[in-house]
Amino acid sequence: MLSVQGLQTEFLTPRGVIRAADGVDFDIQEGEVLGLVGESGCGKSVTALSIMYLIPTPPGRIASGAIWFRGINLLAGSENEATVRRGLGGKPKLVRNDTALRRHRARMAKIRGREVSMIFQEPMSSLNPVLPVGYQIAEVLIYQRRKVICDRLLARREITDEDLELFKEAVTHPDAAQRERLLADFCLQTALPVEKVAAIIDRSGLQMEERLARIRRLSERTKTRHAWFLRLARELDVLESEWITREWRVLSGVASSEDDRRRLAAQAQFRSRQALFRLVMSIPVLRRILMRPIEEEARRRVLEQLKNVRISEPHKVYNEYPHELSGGMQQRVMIAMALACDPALMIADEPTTSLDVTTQAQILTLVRDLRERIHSSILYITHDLAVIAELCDRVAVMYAGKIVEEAPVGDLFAHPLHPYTEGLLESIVSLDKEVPTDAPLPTIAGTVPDLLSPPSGCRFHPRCKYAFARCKTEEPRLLPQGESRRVACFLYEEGGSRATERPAGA
Amino acid sequence: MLPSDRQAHEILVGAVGLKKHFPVKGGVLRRTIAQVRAVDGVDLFVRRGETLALVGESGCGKTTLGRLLLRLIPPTSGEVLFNVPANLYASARDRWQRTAEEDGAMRSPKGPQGDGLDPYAITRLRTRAFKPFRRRMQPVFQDPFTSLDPRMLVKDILAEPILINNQMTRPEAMERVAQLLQEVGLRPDHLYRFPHEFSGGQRQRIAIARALAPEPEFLLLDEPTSALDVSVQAQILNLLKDIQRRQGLTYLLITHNLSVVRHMADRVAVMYLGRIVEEAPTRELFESPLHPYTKALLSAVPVPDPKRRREKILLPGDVPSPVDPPTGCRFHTRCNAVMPHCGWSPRDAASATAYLFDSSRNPHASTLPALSEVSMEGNRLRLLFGGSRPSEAQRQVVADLVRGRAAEAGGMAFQAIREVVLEEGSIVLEFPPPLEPAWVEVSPGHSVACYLYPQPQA
Repeated sequence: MLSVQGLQTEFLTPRGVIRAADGVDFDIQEGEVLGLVGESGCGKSVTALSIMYLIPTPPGRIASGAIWFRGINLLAGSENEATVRRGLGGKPKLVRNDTALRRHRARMAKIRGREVSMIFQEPMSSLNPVLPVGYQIAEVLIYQRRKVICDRLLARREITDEDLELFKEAVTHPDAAQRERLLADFCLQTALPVEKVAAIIDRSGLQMEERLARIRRLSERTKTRHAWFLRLARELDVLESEWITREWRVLSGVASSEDDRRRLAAQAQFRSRQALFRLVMSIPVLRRILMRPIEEEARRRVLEQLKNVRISEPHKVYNEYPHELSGGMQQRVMIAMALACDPALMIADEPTTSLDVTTQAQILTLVRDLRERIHSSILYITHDLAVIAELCDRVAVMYAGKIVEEAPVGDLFAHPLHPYTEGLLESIVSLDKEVPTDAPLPTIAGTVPDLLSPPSGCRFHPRCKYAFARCKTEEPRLLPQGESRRVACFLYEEGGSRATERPAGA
Repeated sequence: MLPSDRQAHEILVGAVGLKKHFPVKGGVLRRTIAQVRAVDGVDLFVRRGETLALVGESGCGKTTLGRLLLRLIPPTSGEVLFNVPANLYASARDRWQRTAEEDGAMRSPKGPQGDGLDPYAITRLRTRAFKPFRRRMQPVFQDPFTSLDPRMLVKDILAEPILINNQMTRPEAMERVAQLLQEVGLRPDHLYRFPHEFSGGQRQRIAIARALAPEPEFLLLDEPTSALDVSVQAQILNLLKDIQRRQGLTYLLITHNLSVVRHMADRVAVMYLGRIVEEAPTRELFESPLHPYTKALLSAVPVPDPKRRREKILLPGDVPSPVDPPTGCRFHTRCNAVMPHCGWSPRDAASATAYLFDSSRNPHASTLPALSEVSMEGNRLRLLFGGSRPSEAQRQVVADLVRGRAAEAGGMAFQAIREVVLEEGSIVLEFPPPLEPAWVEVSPGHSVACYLYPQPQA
């Protein structure tokens, strides 16, 4: 589904060019969880940001490579955005082509959040501190999910006696959990806002007839109006998606002549509708009136999503600001935001590193459960191998900008191939590993190399206990080893001491 | 010279009845509207030469406790004793516990005078008199990126504590600084660099060297490795162990990483919402944890082996706010082994009452008048029924409903209700007065505060 090929991302600094990702290769299958593991500064976050096209330019740029996502190359059309020129005194300088950059960003905006979403390490610094968290999630939906929202609003109907029967049950059912479920069903059927219905239910001192009357009034008040506008907004969304998808295909060089023709047609249609839409939106009063149902529907979806990530009081949390939430809650909000549009791929960049073990356990269980329900693929980035063991199907180990080993999770832990993986696994401080308290913990000698001047040959050779002459001069390639694994180490190539060894399970 | 300087006593740092409440200001006049009970009555001691680990979730008060022990902030009440004989510490603790039982209220931070503790209690000293003690207890903080002055050279960072304490002349100090760097595994040419030129692991080494500079006896390690990578973490832990062995230092290790604890500590204290809930020798704590919170903490640690999976005890929700901590045992709102006497209060039951006693919703409550309001008064929950006065028969209905709810799943708060009484035209549900579980020593050195274990007879 996602295939990253030869990705090179570099940063121009006053001291020289840092190649943070240097020929990164990996694939993620549909529904798979791939763990990307490595120490800080090895380029794992840069890889993630490159996929999202969020590398700040300047100083950074994607120098080469391809990122294939569901039949399109996400880097197609971005080649000329930033070029390196020699400036005064021979210093390299990044020259930005703003038009190309803007076009590519506009295309990426239809992928980001919709098809590929990302959870960042520090929820506090990636949420907007001056907006309520619920609104921040709703914004994503209003922007990316207009079609679905409008469809639902257009399908709204008058309230029936059957609906009211369901409501009665939601009020009187003896089991609290069941009441909650019935309430959710009722709101789903009638498209009424959950919090208003819940307020009518929980208000004490009301008789059943009064409650039913209030529900009828509520339904009357929230009846769908201005259907023409909803249809317009829906059509705009559909046309824009079609046009951009086809443009991606053309740029990626996989388009048929049919694609090219339809792209132009969709684009022209989109432009004509857009003029009317913009005109309407430019009048504040109209904008407020017309957008309100869309915003309310988005809000309803956000509350549902907040409940999915096990936030116990979604209505309360919706209106809270990031600083009012604990770290675990903030991270749940981030996950809810990432899942808001049912993305095909979710990138999680160290989502639990800043959290407590107990909260981490909650979040990991949540991600595992969600995985079974939503069928997204996940790229899980972390430096904690224990988390990888709990969650992932496959692991890619990264060192100094390169993938050095890739294997199914069980094989990697049972029989690590690359000396770096071996060292990482040994240096884990584990609850279950009975280390005699006096013996020092095994460590990897030395430190992570400076990427300004990476070591020659294999980048791990200065720290490797098996290094031999060839490691210093030649760079090992990531070659298949057994059926399902790949490793970049001369020990496993022709003439290496472990060339004939076959790992267990491979 | 202070009397406590002359000989080495068994207990290096001890806390008795330590409390720290931070005021929350609000309103137009910035008056104190609430207290954050960050540390709320902690007795804790660290023996000379040992490593005591303090574990707990973020926000439980472990960092505040560490700062109190170093007297970086003054306590609200309670005392910190330094280099104190074990018997004196024990009697001081007993005395504090007894006074706490007697009046329960906040007492003077000075504690009882003339008790022979004056030479040891650093919280009684004036700032000037305390200065010689500062040198003897040093901190290492979590984030080496923010705890080193970016504008000072490494040599100045390391020499500063020595010169401030007037321990040496400048040339002597420079020699010592070079030696310190070597001790923490850095090279002499690192002396003339700035902190930003180092990686995280190296910076933490510098922070450790700075803490070692004035030759302390006690190091407070506040999450020393949680900002570091796994491979670097192992290096730093090895270094700390090595230094401790060579110099006979005493450590208080504050962390939320239990794997680190297992490797480093001799004893462990588990903290929850400002209180120590369990304390035990490391091996015993990991092999037979007693408190349900400790069990949950241990089960939450991820296993670095895809083939094995630990049975996880997931704690529901977040740590409650320390502004208004739960009554009784503070853990009862998230505990999976709760009992009726764990300290339930009206607020635990309030959310369920909206359905339970509403005649228009619950068919079993149909004989009750319409419920108009539910209010909480201390350990009483009052049900008001509009204008009508409930009868004795209706009180009986409420009592039956309470009993029915108590038998259902999650009805523990209703099991705790002692009585249902008719009062001033309303029905009142009475909860028992909240009591905190006593601190029980289950086996030598292994103590726990939980109702699951036999409580001492009052």
